[in-house]
Amino acid sequence: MARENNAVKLRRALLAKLARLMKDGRLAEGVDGIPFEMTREGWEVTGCCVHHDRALIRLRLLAMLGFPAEGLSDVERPLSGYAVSAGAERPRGEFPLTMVTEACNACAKTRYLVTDACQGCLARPCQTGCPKGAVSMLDDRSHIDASKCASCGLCEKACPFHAIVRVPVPCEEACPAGAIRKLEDGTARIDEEKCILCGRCIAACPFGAPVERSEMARVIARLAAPAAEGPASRRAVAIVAPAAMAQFPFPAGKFAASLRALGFDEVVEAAQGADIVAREEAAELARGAPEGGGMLATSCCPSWVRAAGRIPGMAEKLSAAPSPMIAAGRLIKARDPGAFTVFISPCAAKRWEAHRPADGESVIDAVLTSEEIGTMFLAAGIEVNEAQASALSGASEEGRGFGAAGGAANAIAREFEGMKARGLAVPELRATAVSGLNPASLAAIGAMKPAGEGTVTLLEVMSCEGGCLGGPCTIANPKAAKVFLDKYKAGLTA
Amino acid sequence: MEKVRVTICVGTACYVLGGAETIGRIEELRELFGDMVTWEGEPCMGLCKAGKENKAPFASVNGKVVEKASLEAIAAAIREALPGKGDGEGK
Repeated sequence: MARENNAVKLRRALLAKLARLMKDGRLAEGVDGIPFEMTREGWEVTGCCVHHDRALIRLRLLAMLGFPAEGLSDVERPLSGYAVSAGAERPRGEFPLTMVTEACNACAKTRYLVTDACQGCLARPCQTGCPKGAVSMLDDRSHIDASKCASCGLCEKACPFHAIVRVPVPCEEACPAGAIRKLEDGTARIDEEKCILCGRCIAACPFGAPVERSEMARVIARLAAPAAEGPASRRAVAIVAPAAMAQFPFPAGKFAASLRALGFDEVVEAAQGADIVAREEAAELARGAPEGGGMLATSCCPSWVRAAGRIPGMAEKLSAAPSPMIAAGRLIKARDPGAFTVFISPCAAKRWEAHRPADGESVIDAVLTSEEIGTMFLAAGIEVNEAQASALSGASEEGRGFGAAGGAANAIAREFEGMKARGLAVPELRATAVSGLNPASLAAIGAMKPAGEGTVTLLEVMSCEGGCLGGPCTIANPKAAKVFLDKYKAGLTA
Repeated sequence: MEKVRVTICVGTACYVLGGAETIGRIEELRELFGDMVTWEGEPCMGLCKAGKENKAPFASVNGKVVEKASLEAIAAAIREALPGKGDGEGK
């Protein structure tokens, strides 16, 4: 799936329109007009008619305001009615994704199809090679009997004309956790128990059906709130993940300054939290990681943390250290309990981690994606390049490296080496980094064993390919973002 | 030979609405056209503010504006601008 497609463009255009209305304080009066504005000139109808397209846009806006978008219920209620409560606080434990089920194509189950390219040849390897006898000739062409087909794919491989194609269900194909289930009408739902919130279905669905329940409305309302209405401290603090710093081709200081221009009072590098995490995890390893039997798995990636809970014996191996986001949030809340903390990253799982009910700890008040922040800049007319770069809060190069695969392991190993250099008796360290969760990598992780006596094993896992830079809510192409991250790590200001 | 000058807008609107992906894939242009093309990023070209935001992202090829400038659209504009075009090609 190309990263740049019409589904992505529509999402960003809608976010920008919403952000503009919110910024101008015109959300309630303007939001019901968006489906009409969008479909005015140059709009290519994708559903049955423009009215259906507008209904779908309305549901997408509903999710962007933070509400579920499943079904067509409440279709009579104008969005302005929802807009009033869009700024309300998120209930803990709420699932951060929703499905615009009306947009779901109800794709038929994965199947093999004979196309027009079939030449009805003499050899017919599709027929002779089929173990189920599902291929026969019909009107001089190969035909697959769906009731017999076991979807083994041998016919596809056998055809010299490449005339047989596999038609997959994109969301099922992309999901590493088997969390897509189909209702009787064929539409897909996300199984909230199985889902690891990697966000891959969001990018994979050609109909843009899986979407996030944004918190943008709440953040913009808070940034705009006049001082008199706020609690004692109403400082809005942005905590920025390294991968989010690396989404623009400009120095991170300019990005930080742009966040201030949006209304944030302070910008803190999540990498500061990462530095704390690296120290804690190195200390766990130095003790021999007894809880995990000599093996320690990183806990910085919330999608991996969800996946780890399903691998037998893995939960005990997960580090007890918080994620960099939580560590940074604690730092801020410790000195300013009334601060409004907003975490910014390209991740679809952080929203769950921030609002998870389990620990009852509320150090992150809201989560925004890099994409949402980008559209907020757009709406506010902020040119990142023209911002006067502000100083960064300060973090190590290794802490900033947490945004890419291998970065956490590198930072932890550096801390570990530091302990050794200080004369501490530490075991020998073996480190492995895995990024890009899929059935194969999950199975490989499940089969990993600690290295044995006298050694400790560090297992770094990041759900997205290449680490957070490959997240589902990025703006920059991951290859370009890697270059920007390296500049941020080096602290370059130009 | 005169090189074709490609300018890609890195203003916020263009960047967020698709330009970022184009910049990330810019190497593909080099593979297609070798050193016949030079490219650079340019701060906001001002077109989004001129009420043409729905045509973003913008780029320009030898000074000529390309709307909805995907990599493919830019490549097409480069082919158009390359010397020799119109002297038999495509006829």
